[in-house]
Amino acid sequence: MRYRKVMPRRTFLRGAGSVAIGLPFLGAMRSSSVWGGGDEAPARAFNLFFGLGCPTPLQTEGFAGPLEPLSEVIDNLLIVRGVDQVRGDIPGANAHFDGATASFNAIPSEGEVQAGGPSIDQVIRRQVYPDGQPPGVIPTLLAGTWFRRSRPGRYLHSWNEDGSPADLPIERPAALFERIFGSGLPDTNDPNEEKRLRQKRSILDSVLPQYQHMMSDASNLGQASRARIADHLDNIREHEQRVFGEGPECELPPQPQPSTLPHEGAADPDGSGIDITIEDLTSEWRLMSDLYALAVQCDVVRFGGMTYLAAGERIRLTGDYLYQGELLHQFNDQAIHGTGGSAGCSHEFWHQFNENAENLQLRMHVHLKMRELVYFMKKLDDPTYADANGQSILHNALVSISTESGDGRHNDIIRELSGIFHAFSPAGGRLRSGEIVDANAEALDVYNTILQQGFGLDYKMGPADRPVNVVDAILP
Amino acid sequence: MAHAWDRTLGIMAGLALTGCYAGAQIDVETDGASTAPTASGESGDTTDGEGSGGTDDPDVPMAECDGMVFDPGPNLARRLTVLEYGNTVEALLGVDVRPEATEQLPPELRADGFTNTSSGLITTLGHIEAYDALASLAIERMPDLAGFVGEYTSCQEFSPACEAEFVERLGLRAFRRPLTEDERDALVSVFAAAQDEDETFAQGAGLVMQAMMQSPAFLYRLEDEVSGDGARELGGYALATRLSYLIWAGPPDTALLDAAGNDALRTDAEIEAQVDRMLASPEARDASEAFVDDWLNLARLNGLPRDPERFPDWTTAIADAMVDETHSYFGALVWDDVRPLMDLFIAQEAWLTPELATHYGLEPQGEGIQRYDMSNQPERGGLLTQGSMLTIGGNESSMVARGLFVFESVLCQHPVSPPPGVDTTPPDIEPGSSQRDISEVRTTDATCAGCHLQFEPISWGLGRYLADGTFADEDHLGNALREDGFLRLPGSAEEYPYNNAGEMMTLLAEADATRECMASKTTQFAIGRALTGNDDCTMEQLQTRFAQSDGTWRDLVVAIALSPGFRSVRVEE
Repeated sequence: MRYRKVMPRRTFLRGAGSVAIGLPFLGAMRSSSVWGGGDEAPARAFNLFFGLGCPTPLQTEGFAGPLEPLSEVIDNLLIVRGVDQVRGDIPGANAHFDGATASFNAIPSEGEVQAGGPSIDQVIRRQVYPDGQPPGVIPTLLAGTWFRRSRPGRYLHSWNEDGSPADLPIERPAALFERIFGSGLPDTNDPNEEKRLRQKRSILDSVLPQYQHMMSDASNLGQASRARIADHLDNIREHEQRVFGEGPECELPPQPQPSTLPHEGAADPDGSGIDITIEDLTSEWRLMSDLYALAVQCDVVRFGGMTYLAAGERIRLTGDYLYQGELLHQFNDQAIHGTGGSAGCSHEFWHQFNENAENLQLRMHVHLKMRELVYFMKKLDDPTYADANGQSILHNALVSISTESGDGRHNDIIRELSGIFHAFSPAGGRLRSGEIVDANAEALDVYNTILQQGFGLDYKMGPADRPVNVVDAILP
Repeated sequence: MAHAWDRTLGIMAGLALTGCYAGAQIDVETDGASTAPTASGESGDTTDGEGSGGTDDPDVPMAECDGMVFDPGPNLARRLTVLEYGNTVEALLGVDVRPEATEQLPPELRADGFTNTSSGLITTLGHIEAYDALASLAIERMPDLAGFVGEYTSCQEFSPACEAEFVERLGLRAFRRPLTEDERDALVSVFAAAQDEDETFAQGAGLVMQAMMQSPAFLYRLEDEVSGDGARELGGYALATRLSYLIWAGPPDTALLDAAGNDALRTDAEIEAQVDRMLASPEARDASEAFVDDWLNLARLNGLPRDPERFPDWTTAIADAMVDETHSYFGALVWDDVRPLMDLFIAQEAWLTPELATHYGLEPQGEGIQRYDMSNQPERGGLLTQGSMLTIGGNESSMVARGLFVFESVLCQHPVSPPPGVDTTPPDIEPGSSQRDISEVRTTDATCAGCHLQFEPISWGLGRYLADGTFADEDHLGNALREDGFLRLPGSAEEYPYNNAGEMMTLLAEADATRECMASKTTQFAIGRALTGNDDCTMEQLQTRFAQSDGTWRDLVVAIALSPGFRSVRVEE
């Protein structure tokens, strides 16, 4: 393993805390036109998921409510209200899992690590790049910060055609860095290095035809198994590119320091939640956002997504919440609840949501997540990294934002998955932007409208016999 | 009514799925490397491992499930898990790369209760890079590469004969079936690259081995899933592979491959004999521990925290000792004493380190982990009174979490979701209430009881055990603790009263549902996916056989190995 080859560049950005990361330079690959229709921007689609949702009554407040931060990027965003999501109802699952696993595909899940169908980012990826993406582009990059992990569908939001995960999400900044940039430089002083590479080439040359054969008509594998082998082959090709290819022209940022947040099992101690400060949480969020955005700006990544807390997340947050330089709130979830453990987590504010009450704590938690989503989107909206058509990445890409249970009346099963918050970037003008619309539609129709009317793809999500009800409200 | 497998190679599309045995016919794999014609006209693809054999044997029994549809269920190429990968490398090359594999390979997703669920066994760039590095490491670590190579070839010179002999003989072990001509040729080509670099034959063979270890037939368990429509009996090599990964979490050994190649894995007696042979090896015990880890989700104890104010004596070492306790307990009962699996819930013994014994309030009996007779300690004995289980539910010892665990993992039940429109707002709880009091509010509340009565009363029997696994009279709020309750078993509204944890576990141990769940969980682990209605026919046969046996681990493994679902694969056109 080694680092991708990089070019020295000039500018530096500073992430949250004191971690500096390098500013990328756009490679020549960015000018490739693959959308069809003469656009000069590559096809990209990213899913941004945030845990616990935004109650419908609060969505109606528009930017006067917890959605306020989204106003900063509204020129390249369409906020879609009134989107009803399916209820999964697999045995033993719950609404958090149901809604989360169906986000971005709107189809009931078939297992704890098996979505009911492909997510919208993967549909576009497969449809637009049937023969794979350009060399050097990571097939799918998933990352994020989450703690609740009893079921993968709580935090995993990108699915293959067969409903299997499109990749494994990365939760540590150092691991994300390595995924994007590699993990070691070749020793150019080692006389055996070239020989080693030649031998590696020989090994790969003997292995690749075996995978290709498994995917061919002569294979004895069924379709699902062939798809799995195809994913394996995609990853071999990326590995090959890392070992033998030139890589993108990006400045190599400093390697992030090890994360101080709990990860893996320690992050979800028996579902009882963790204590965390807003500074620690947002520092890691922003570092992950910086790295991910850097990968997009470098054109190393075109598909995937970020997770901003899991479905049914359980944290006990403390600390001062500043927005645009002003102290907006002081979080102290455990003190508000008067107890620790799971009952002291912010998750309980959703259980306690009352449409006729202020719901201050819930509002602030949603507001905070919106602020962080905007932090990421503004990086994609930076004109410095505009595509060849002069528009920002955010404008050209399809950035889809979704979440779990919709209206906050979390205890009301009828409404459990109705009115789920959605927002989309304009995907190169294929979707409306700059406003808040009431779609009053099924999520499946929203997604299919994007695919068919927006992208002109001959593809339909969901049951074959279900007609698509075009959602005009999202179209320009 | 007995029925024979139909061994006709003909396309029995549809029929194979229309009845479990009545009129159903199941195709039999061709078995015979490179002999089966394919659509392309090439010699047969051996993704599944066809070998020799395939002689007709009308006595092989087929599924007997009156009125049920037989379907082996969806099949998927299964990547080796981290555990299986390490075992497979060691079995092939005799070197241990498990620590590095655990460190370098991405951790497996836990889904549907297990980490070997096939839909979650995806492959990422991290896997590819790790496989590359681990293959290189394994070869470097071999103490006598030339000697090893000599075991698989009669000559060590760069010649087509020597190279092909080595590739074919080692390839049989690595791919768990004979290689196709294309595979052989691709791997032999690596020798040429080595020769160009002036490497020795053995060094060239090392590169070939690296290539084998990154090949799909090594990294995945692949089976013939086409050439028909319906179900197909597995070929010998594919069945051998299923058996070995079930029993050893590793690849077939030479004897098993020989049996597959000689078409000696057809009858119940042949399979049962192989199962007994395999269970006698130490690898079988280790592999069963992996099942226990997944079934009970013991990994959650890794670094498990407890509230330091309420549980000042809690340490991660105690958590580790609890995992060891469960491993040792399972190993002693299942392997040393060969007791029925249901005894896991009632055996009056414990396996404790001195630290854990002290933690439980017992007098330590010696260094290291020791067997403790719990005959006179009614509060201990039985799986559910072990710390690894009692730490479920967080600092509050949530009766919901504990009850759900038993409900789902021991009884294989799932709580029924409330119907639409039901107000599921939790009832008000009096501050300072005990967990039992809170639980009883839920189980008497008209809205909550419908669901919570299904599983919460099970956990009442554990009501005197705190979140650190200790046994107590009072909780931290001064509430007196109690452990009486009642149990509802699946399919019945009858309430079976009990007075303590021991009685509660005895009820579980005597319940058919518990035995059936153990069989279901182990079968799920064996086939790598959650069971569905498609599996009813297979499970009926399997459960009947297991119920009529002594109920040991061996009996369960045999029942799985002989079940129609385990011995066949769904095929598509």
